[in-house]
Amino acid sequence: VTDVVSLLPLVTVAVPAVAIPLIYASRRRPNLREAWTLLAALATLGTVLLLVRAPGTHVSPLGSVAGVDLALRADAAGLLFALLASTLWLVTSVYSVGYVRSLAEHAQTRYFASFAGSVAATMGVAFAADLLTLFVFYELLTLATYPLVVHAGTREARSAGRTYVAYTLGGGVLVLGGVLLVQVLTGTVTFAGGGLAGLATADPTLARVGFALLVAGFGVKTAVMPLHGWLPAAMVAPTPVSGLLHAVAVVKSGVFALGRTVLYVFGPETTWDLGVGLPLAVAAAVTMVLAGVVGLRQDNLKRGLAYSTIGQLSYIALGLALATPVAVFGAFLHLVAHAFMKITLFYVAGVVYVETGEKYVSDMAGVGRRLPVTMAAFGVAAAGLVGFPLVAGFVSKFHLVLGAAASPVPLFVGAYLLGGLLKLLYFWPVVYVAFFGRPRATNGASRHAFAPPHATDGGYERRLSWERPALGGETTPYMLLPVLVTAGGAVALGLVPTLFPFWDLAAAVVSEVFG
Amino acid sequence: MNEVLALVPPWVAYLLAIVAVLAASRRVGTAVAVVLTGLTVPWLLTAPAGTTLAVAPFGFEQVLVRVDPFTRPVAALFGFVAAVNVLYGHATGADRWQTAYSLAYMGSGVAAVLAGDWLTLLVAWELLAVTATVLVWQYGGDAVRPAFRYAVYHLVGGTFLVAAVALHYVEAGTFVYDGGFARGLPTTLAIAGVGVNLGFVGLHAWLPETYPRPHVAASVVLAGFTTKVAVYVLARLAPDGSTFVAWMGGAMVLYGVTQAVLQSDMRRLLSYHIISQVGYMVVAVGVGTAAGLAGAFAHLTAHVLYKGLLFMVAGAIVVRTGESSLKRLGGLARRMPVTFVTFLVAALAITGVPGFSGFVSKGLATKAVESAAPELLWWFLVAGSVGTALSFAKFGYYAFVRRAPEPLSVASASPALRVALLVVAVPSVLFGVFPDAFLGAFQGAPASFEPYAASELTKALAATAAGIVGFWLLRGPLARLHPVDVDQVLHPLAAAGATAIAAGAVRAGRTATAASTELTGRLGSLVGEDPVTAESTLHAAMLALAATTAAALLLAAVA
Repeated sequence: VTDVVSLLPLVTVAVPAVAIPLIYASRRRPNLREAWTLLAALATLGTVLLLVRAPGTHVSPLGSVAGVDLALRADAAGLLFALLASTLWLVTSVYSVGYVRSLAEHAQTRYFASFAGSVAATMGVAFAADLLTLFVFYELLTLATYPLVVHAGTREARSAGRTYVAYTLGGGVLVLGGVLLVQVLTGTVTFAGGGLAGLATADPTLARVGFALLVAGFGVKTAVMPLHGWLPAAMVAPTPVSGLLHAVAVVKSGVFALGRTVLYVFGPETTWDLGVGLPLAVAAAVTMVLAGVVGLRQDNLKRGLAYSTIGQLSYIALGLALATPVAVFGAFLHLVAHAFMKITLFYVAGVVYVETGEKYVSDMAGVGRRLPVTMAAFGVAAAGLVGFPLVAGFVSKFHLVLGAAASPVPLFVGAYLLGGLLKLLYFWPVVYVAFFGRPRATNGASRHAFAPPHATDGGYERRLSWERPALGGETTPYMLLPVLVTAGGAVALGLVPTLFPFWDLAAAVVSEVFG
Repeated sequence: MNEVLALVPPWVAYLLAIVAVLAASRRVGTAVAVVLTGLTVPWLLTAPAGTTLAVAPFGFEQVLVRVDPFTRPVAALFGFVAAVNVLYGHATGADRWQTAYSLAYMGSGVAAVLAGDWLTLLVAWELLAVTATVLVWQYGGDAVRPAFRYAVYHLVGGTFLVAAVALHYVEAGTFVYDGGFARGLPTTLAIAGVGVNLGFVGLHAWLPETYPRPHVAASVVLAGFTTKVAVYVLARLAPDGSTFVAWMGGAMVLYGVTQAVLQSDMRRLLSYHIISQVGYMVVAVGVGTAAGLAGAFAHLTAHVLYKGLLFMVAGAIVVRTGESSLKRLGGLARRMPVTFVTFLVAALAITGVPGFSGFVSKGLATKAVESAAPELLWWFLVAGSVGTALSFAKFGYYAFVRRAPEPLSVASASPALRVALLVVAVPSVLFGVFPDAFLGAFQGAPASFEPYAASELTKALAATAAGIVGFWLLRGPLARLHPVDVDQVLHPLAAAGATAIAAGAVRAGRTATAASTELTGRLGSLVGEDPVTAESTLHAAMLALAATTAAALLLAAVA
């Protein structure tokens, strides 16, 4: 595969960015404003698809800063991430329209503009050809998502925003340190499949420090414990934000950057030679189990999903840390599979909130009668995250388990399987309560299997009789369709994964890294 | 014709049947589903041995259909049972969704048995667990909680199997069956996983808890597949046997039968008999001889038929009288004659009375154990036979023979119910009358085995007589005992444990958060910041950062 100098990678980043002024300009005409968002999403997806189809690897040089060449390069890993993010941006844009209009949210213009900005930064992260470019877009992503986290403007939202910025910008500082160290050690920060040759021969202690800085910095957005605190807090954001950004774009930027570090900067071999692969794997495995356990106690649906995200990101991080070909393949598949399944779950949480006003699992007793299709989609996506066959999660997790079995420490197979079991324990009460729970007239007692009771708003009695709506009439089509599309995507990825471009892209990553 | 058929795995017929059941009227849907599922039998009897349908949907070589001496009788049996089960569901008033879930479950069972590689098996195995859960779940009410525990048990078992298969793949480099399963840790893990489905003593609590709860037709469906697929997989995993497996089988025989004797709910009693009868198969696989394997598969075949029939009988009683406890039944022999006759056939078959299928298959399994295992194990099996006779004497006496304690109203039955009962009863008799034709279907059955030798007859009749006499003597004390099982301790412990661990982790997390908040607060107060200025400082800093980055990018683009 040869490199082709082209503008396409830059266009992919620029299209969502150009949408920002257009969105602001048409702030008085909501329909036109949303048209810009949808157009930009379509154009971004189209450009990425062009890049996927095009022969050769497209590169857009961005000039150089202080002797470091900056560039955007659409290689297999970047394309996989960009394709995922742009596909789901399109779906989420439709969903967002339904969500913010149903709730009559304030500051919708700022919301859509920030959304476009976040996607532009994500595309930059995906296509960054070197650590410095990656760092710049990684930081821009933090800035672009900040207005979305504090969107509600409440005290809680502002506090969550402060936590978010403190964690992620703090991580950014560590990343910058790591980038400088790598530059000093090897004289380059440009990604190379299988790692930079200079690092294998560099001073091992300094190399380890560089790895630690980069991993700790990117680990913040990957939400590896104990750097995860910002993610459950950030759930105060509107649900589409939690869906696209805090289950796909932002957190996946973290784990994607982690993958770049392990596979394209240090390389699988050097990572394990330096002895830093195992600690990272252990941290990921511990996170996976702890997040599963803590998740059991969450009665707030979105918080529970956030802990589930923390656990699932560690599935990917563990696969990358183990760095066997099958594990890496599984990690990239899981990046995609988890995105489709988790965004479905967030969409559903949003539909439940819009249609019933409920946020707590124990208040959702019987909601399956009111939202049958939506909650069925929830059940399918949840089954996928547990790892049942015929849904995307099975395929990716099976590769991860196989990769772990072939790794130096096969014990990590147990971590994956324990993680799956905890997922079943977490998701079951939710599905159970939704379909079989019977609201009781008395408040106070928790109907959640593991979580303690929460303070209810006292408005519970009116929901004693949730009624079955007409088919397809349970919510606005703007929200129902995205739920069906992503849930259908998750099932399709579980039935015929090889038919999607993600499969070949992940395979290309493996052959790029392992030769 | 055969070539065309070979391209379509039999379980496709189950998918089509689901569509028919959901789309057509109840009567038409049932008829189509009976025909489609029944087609499995001729498909398997005519399909040539060998593997077909190699695919690679997940990037690994998989074989969807493999026909060999193990799969042929089991899958054909499943097809026959599935067809009758659909008819029985129709007769007992199962709704279309229940029938659809049953078909999905039975189709998964067929897919599991026909799979030619471990990955396909794993997928079918998990689907079997999911569909069974949904099938129980669908009934609602009391069945919902047990369905959750069912799912947890089977996911744990499936988890062990996934780990085992992954380690096997690393060693063997392929999922395809040829060449056996990797020894050592993979086999141990796999047996532990399969053990959950088999109902190993200690891992069995899901079985008697789940099977009596749902609709009677669902009980019949469930009784036929999960444990039998597991026996089949056990034979694939450890065709050379294992001492642990053999003794565990012996323990299952004794434990299951002891618990069964103490039960008064009909379907619960039958559920414990599944554990004990599967124990016979596990012992026979465990001894690891060709005769043992043949005995296990013959007993599996006989068992699926008579145990399905027993569940059908119990279900017919539940549907027609509204009672499920033996304590409130009685005198049904005259009021439900067809049910009574079919009960007799099934009870004599499971007890192993000469002339019925169980006598032949249990005889072969016991013989294999006698010649290849310690004598004590053989005595376990004999004791199991006595207990079986005892508990079916109890079932028959309370349900059919004695006078009802209070007047019972018996609803009329549909002809379909009668047909289903009689059709399933036929092979239990035929297999007993024509033992050579029956055993001929199983590879490895020794030609020297004479089921109707005088010694075999004496043993069988002695065990049966001992059981009946035992019941007559122990009738009084048995009625006063209240059985306890491990689940009464195990399940509350597991729930409390999970909650406590989660609560502990949350508390630890809270403490850590509080400590870090305190620390940052102190650092903040050192520089004299208050929250409001902190926020505006933050905003200013972010704006500056954004502006700088933008400027840098612009510079870079220009340069």
